Amino acid sequence: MMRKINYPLLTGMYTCLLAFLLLSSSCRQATNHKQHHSAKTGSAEIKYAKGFAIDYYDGYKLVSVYSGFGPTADTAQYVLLAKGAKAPEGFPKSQLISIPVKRLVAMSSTHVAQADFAGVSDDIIGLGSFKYISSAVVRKNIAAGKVRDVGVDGTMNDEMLISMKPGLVIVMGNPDAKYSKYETLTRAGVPVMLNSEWLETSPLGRAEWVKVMAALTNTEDVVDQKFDAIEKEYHRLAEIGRHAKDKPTLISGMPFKGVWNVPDGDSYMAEFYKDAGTNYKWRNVKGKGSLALNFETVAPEALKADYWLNVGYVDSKKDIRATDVRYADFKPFKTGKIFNYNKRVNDLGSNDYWESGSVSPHLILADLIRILHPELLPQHQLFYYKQLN
Amino acid sequence: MNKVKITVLLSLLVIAFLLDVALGSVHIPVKEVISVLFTADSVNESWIYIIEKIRLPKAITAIVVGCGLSVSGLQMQTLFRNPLAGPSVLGITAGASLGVALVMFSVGSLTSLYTIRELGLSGSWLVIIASSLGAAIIMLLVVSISSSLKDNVIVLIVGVMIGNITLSLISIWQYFSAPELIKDYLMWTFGSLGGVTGNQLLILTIVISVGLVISFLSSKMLDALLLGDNYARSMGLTVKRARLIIVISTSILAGGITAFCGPIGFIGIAVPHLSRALFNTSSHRILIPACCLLGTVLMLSCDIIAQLPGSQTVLPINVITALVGSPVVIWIIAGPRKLRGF
Amino acid sequence: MEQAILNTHAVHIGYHAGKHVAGPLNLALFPGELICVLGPNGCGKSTLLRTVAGLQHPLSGEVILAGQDMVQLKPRDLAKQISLVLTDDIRSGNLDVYTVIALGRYPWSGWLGILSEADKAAIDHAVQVTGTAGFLHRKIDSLSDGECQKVMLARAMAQDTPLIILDEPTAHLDLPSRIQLMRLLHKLAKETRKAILISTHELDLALQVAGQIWLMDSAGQLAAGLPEELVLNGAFEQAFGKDGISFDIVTETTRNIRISYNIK
Repeated sequence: MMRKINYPLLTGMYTCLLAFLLLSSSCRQATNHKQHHSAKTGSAEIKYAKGFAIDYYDGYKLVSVYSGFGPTADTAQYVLLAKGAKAPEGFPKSQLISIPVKRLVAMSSTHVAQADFAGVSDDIIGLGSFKYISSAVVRKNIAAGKVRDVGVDGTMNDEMLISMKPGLVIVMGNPDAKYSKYETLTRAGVPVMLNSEWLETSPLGRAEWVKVMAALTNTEDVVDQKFDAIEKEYHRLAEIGRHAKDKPTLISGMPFKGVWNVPDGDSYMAEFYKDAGTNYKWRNVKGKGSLALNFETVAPEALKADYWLNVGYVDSKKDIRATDVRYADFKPFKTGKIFNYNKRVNDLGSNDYWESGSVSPHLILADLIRILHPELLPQHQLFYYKQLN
Repeated sequence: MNKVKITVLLSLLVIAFLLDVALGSVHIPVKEVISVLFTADSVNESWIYIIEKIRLPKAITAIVVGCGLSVSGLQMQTLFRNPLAGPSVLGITAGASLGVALVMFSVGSLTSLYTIRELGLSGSWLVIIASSLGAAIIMLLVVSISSSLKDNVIVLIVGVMIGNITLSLISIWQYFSAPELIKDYLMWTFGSLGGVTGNQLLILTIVISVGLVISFLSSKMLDALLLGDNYARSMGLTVKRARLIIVISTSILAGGITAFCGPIGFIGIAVPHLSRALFNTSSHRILIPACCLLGTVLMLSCDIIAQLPGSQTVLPINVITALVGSPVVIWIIAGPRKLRGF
Repeated sequence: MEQAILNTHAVHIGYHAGKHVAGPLNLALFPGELICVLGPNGCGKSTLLRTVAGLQHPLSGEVILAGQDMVQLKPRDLAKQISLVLTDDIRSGNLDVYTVIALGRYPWSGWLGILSEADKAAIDHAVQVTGTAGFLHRKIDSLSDGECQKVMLARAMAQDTPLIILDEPTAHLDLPSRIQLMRLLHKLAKETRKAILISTHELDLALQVAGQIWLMDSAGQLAAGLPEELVLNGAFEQAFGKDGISFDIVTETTRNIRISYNIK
């Protein structure tokens, strides 16, 4: 006969196991520090981005990619070696990248935009997907058969990539994550660099990653100049925005199935909203970039908000109503103040906001100020945003 | 004795309903909750909105879903004489998922844009219709296969296998899709009682009511099937026709719910066992209403927990039903003899 | 002469896939009779029972029941004429004894299965004659094999049909239970005027209680008659005698025949 089951004990164990699993999923991993040493000749001036550093040495450059929270032991380091120079000692774990990089494979639209910014998008020979591309140069090259589709991240065609002999494959990543899925490529001599510009919490910080592209392609002069201009323009606009007399309220994003993801205080979107002169409810909430809130928490704000921005894949008020009939009760719906960043969506369905927008924070800020304070920028034509009717 | 149980259950139902409407991320005083429910007025306008447009439809959805899933699970357990059978065992929910995957993974593609513009469908209705079509196609497939099979066990295995094939197809699709689309589909698979409003709630209620009526009218057939096909036949039941009716009503119930709320599991397996144990009968004309009562109470309770009252976030309903439902099933099946359902 | 409950006219039984098992058969079942179908394994007892029960069609010929060809009867009407006791395992579903017996009223009860007074009376009668009153509220899976058989018999009785067919009812039972069941069947047939048809391997018990024997052999021949007739005319020897078993009759009284057999 079976022994009687001890229910209290089982229930206790079950609850403890559940609690443990739920708690551990929100814990961050511990980090430790490592130092490196050599004779530097200079460093790139990085004012806003927290996720990388570029150091200049005799004959090579060192790009360190952090997780966005500052240097940790998991910093990925890349040695950018000039042609003909000898590989430096002391970097056993780092990849060597020959510069200037020709034959670039880009896995994300932001990388294409950075290449465009640096004027080197003609060197792109491979993309993760042909569906998400706005750059005119790259599209022309695709049509001419000069660019290959290498498969989205996770299902990359390693064999094709190796045979293409690219100078560098740039992937979206988090330096904390494991490198192992790219081992096949790196062991075959294909350098793979992780970019984590998407972790930046400020618009200028995100755009500043063009300097990594500059270091890779020896276009620092051009890029620094352009970036300085954008930086100046951004600050000029932010002054206007922040000194606006009345600050409208707004809600951001589109809920899905009872959950409304809104940008929190640590996201670049919240910084945009601050610089554009708004009263954004969650601007002071610290977090990982977005808050997953219950629909009913955000709904009271939505009922009173002045503007509704960034509504996702919809293109008209009819679409919004079709998604959920309750959205028609929101004040921005009733007053028609709904704006979406889908003005520059091309015939492939890809949205340039995610491409050139990532390196043009000044244009996005101008759009936002034009929307939120039309009287402050009357001459500006909306570039990425449009009003939904 | 049954009258006492029913009264207690009805009281629990009312309490659970009120709690579900009263609790949530936004704190609303009980006085105001009652004020909104009975006079449609309150000191704070957004509270009226929250209760009338968010919580009340969600609670009603929970009631409808609790009934529909429990009764369809009961039918499957009886038809296949299997204590682990549930509404998804015939692959109906897998078919619904396939329809939804089709829509979600082709967002932005030419086909879906065409559908949206020309047919005037968009947003949530597109997902609902795709899901219903997927469920209906699988139902037809299972029905046509089962009509030429005498043995119920074979029908069960066929249904499970069809479900697996469908889910594999969806996996292939996911493998080649962009992360945002996968995230949307993943969110759908978590299930959600919110978001069924207005006309959608009306249609869902009608569909589930039709399914429940068919099930209740099949009570006698289901009772006979408890002794197995051969005895049922010898008592005058046309087993093939009975099976057809049961499969259709289960498909209407499970398919309808999945179309509007996504796949919600475990309620359909756990509640029939609870009903059988609580009312100590195998007669379906008692069990079907009992399943409705217990299913509703359980579903409302899971929704209350999912709300994480007081906190800003909400957990997916599927997570809660699984965490609550699995121990219940284990307790019923492995527990003290007298509570055994099967 | 009483009207036969069931007749077969030149019936050939077998499987439509091509296997002819036996025939032509001209058989009759009369009220108050207990008929035992005997024969070695594989001779077609099950096929015969299934054909007579309406579970499969004869290859040719007709089975006449209640004055009609059986194939033309609707399932519900057939259920009012014939009830079955099978070897199927029904011990699942949280069923209690009363519910199982009450299911016998399926062809008669209302559209939701609600029992009328007449239904309840029929159930009580079935319970009484089968002696199952003692465990009415127990669950089916808590019964012994013998008790379970009695319950299934009570269910068939509750179905209130002129003909009850039992497939190997004494399989899995111990000797006292087997004797008890066969005696019960014999008594029921006489008292309720039903015809009861069983297939069984219980040679000696069958010979003592059966009113008629249908003896099948492996060659597809069927001999029907009184038990002593079939013994005396050598039918038994022919059907079973291949393995060195010889049959003797010991007649104690005119109504009591015993068979003894020697294993050489």
